[in-house]
Amino acid sequence: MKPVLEMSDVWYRYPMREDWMLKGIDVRIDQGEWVSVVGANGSGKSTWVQLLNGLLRPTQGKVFVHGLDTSEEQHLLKIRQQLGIVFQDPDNQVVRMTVWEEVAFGLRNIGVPPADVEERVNQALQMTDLYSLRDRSPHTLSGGQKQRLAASAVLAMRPRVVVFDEATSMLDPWSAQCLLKIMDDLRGSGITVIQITQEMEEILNSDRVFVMGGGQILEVGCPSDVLRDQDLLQKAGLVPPFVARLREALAQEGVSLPDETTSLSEMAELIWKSFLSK
Amino acid sequence: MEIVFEQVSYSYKGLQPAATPALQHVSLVIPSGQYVTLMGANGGGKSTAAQMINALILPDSGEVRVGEFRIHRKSKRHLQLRQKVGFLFQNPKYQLFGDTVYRDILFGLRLMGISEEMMREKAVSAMERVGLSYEEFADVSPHRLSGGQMRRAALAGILAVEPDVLVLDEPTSGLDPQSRQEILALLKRLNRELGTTIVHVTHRIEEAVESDRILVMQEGEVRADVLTSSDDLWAQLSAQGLVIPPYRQLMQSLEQLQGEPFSAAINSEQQLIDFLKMKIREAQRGITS
Repeated sequence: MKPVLEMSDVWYRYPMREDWMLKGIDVRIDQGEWVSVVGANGSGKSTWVQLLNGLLRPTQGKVFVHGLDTSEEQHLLKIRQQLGIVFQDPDNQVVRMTVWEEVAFGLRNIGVPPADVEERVNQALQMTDLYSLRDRSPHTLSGGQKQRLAASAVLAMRPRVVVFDEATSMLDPWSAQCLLKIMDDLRGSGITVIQITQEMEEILNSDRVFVMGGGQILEVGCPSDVLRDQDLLQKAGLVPPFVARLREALAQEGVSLPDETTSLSEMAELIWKSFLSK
Repeated sequence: MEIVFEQVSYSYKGLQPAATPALQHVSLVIPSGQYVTLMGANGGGKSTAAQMINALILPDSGEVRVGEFRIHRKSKRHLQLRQKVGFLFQNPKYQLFGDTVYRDILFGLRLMGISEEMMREKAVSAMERVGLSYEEFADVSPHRLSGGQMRRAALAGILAVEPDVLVLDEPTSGLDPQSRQEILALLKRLNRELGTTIVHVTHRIEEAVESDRILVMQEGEVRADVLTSSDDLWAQLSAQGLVIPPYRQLMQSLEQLQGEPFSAAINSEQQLIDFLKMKIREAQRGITS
């Protein structure tokens, strides 16, 4: 099977500049995977995202979306239907009068027949739990609802890949959880999810994590391995979640908490029993 | 500069009515020199309130007073107010216009009617204040900067005109932990050293507890008004449905098991980790002796 995204030895620098933003990126992502991409500001992850759908083209190397080369102009429309991006700022993406029309807009633009538009819009709004708000003006939605709307508009295009580019960073914790749930549902229905984030708590459910730093992919691993690798995270300018840091710190002092204890109240009891009560 | 909200209401004019007004009869006083954070879920009204301090949005009814400036339904000419009240947008791209960082900072300074030499001095010192070296960044296009640098460049443009009040709409969203810490430290320094009144909108409770006072907004109303120095700070925040950070939850469970609060003051993840490490060593010494 063809990978949904493939990059081989991709380098990028802005025109007229000498410093490389990306230095030899190799990536292969398969259908139905949830990949998270983490890195500090300036690590190259924003540049990387713009290469995914041809907003930027590699200075050297090739980017293929489901076998289509992003450097070839005639593929761009097809590539952007197959790979949709939900961006950071919910206010940047809304243009139509109602929620329903907002989602239908993109479909009409690419000439989808009216009967199919109806079915696809309704289905997309149901997946993001916005169907009951379909007649509202997008401008009356909260930030979290707007991000779900942006996701619906992408989903209605029936993409193979949905990219969430720091899409939770302006949301409150509850709205961020709703968006993560949508990512999980998408993976469940065989759609590839690429999640760019700085929040290490948000990567726990993904299949693979790419750690970026200095324009390179420093490491690829499953979430638990990445979170345990303190040296790697430090090098990448990232801070592991509190629970991972605590586990590591206690282990150094000779107190190990079993891997399967994840709830804070269980942890508290273990800590209490093993040394604090003495 | 003191900020006063008096019976301020506002609703967004959309085609469909919004479920609730963005602000409903909000009254509050922020004394000069206080560092306040606004918290609450998306749609609670905190960004609306913040924008009113800079007259980016005018109240439907009621009045906002910032020092001697009055902001109400019919107020006009807010240019002078905006020199006193700096506003950092959530997305710094909205406020970076210049083709280089340096020229962008000069943009605001030109309105002050001061000499070229003075402008240059203020621009350079604002860049230094936010940690962007003049040599390295003066000639760079703002749009080539990373998220953290872009935020700092926008902040430099605001600080150059030396505002009395600084309003920041989620100034750390999208920033890595290091850059977040730097921005927070900078805000605290401005507040302490220059007496700048700060209104900081955030979702991050760990940032909010670093300020003097937390206002929790919900459905257009101020639902809680808590000084961070109060003993029941966390209980009050948790009662408002805010998500308490994991270190604090663990600490609460441990204190419950112990039956009394820890003697040490613990206000961060690292402090709790260090405290527990110390306890392990104490327990080990107890066994060997």
